Amino acid sequence: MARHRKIQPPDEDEPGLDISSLIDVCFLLLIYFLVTTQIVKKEQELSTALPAVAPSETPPDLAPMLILLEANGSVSIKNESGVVELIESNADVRKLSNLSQRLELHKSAADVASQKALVQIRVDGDAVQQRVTDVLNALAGAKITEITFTDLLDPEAN
Amino acid sequence: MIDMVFLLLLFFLVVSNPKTIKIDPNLTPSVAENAQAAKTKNGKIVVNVRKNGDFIQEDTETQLNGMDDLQDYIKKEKERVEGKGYEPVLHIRADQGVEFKYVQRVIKSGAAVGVKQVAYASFNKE
Repeated sequence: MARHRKIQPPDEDEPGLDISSLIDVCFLLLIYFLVTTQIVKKEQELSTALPAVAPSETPPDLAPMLILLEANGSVSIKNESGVVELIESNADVRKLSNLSQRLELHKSAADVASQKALVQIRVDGDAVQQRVTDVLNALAGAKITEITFTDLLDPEAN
Repeated sequence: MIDMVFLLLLFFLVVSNPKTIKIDPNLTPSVAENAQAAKTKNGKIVVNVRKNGDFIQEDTETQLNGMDDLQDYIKKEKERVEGKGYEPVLHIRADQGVEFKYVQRVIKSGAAVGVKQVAYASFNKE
């Protein structure tokens, strides 16, 4: 008895999806991104409001803390009795731990009184920007946002 | 192999971050570990302050000579930004070694034309 063999159609007649061009495009895109991508440090920011936009009609119960930054990088605070206390003398130390502690105390006192912790900064014009940033960094660490720069008048600019 | 190519492609598509603010290559911003990413890049009025006290526009090339130039630039940028419906933010990118008196001049110029918010550009790490 003869065997009936089912004739298979040739393979090349099967419908298929040619993805070779897709792969080519993917390779091209990959090479493009490999060449053009630059690993750069992402810029961040420390935000403050200008003093002129934070006027107070009534004086706050909790006096603002005044931070004094000298040209040599030393940081002092002026307490409520008007006494200036040097708290950071080494300008080479970037982390202002003593200032951070004081700021946290100031913030806690303000929180207890249900008020905003206010801080004023007076910077000597010859102080370098990094030192100012160190102070702003300590303020950001203590989550104090009500910051004003006093003494913005620069005699040389006028 | 093809899967890997797709994965790599997806990775680069995700990490590629189109820059909207040019960073002046001639200055090194300060470092502040508590600095935060900007909520929005819209409304920025960028002033670069180089170590020698030069004020440079956002394009990182055009120098602003003196307080009058600086104030005019901030004023025009403020009007442009407000025209687009954004709140203007003075974005000061100062070199970490520049004396603060130069930064004070930028702040003063911003205050003079009514820019309310100031942001100091910095990096999170060295």
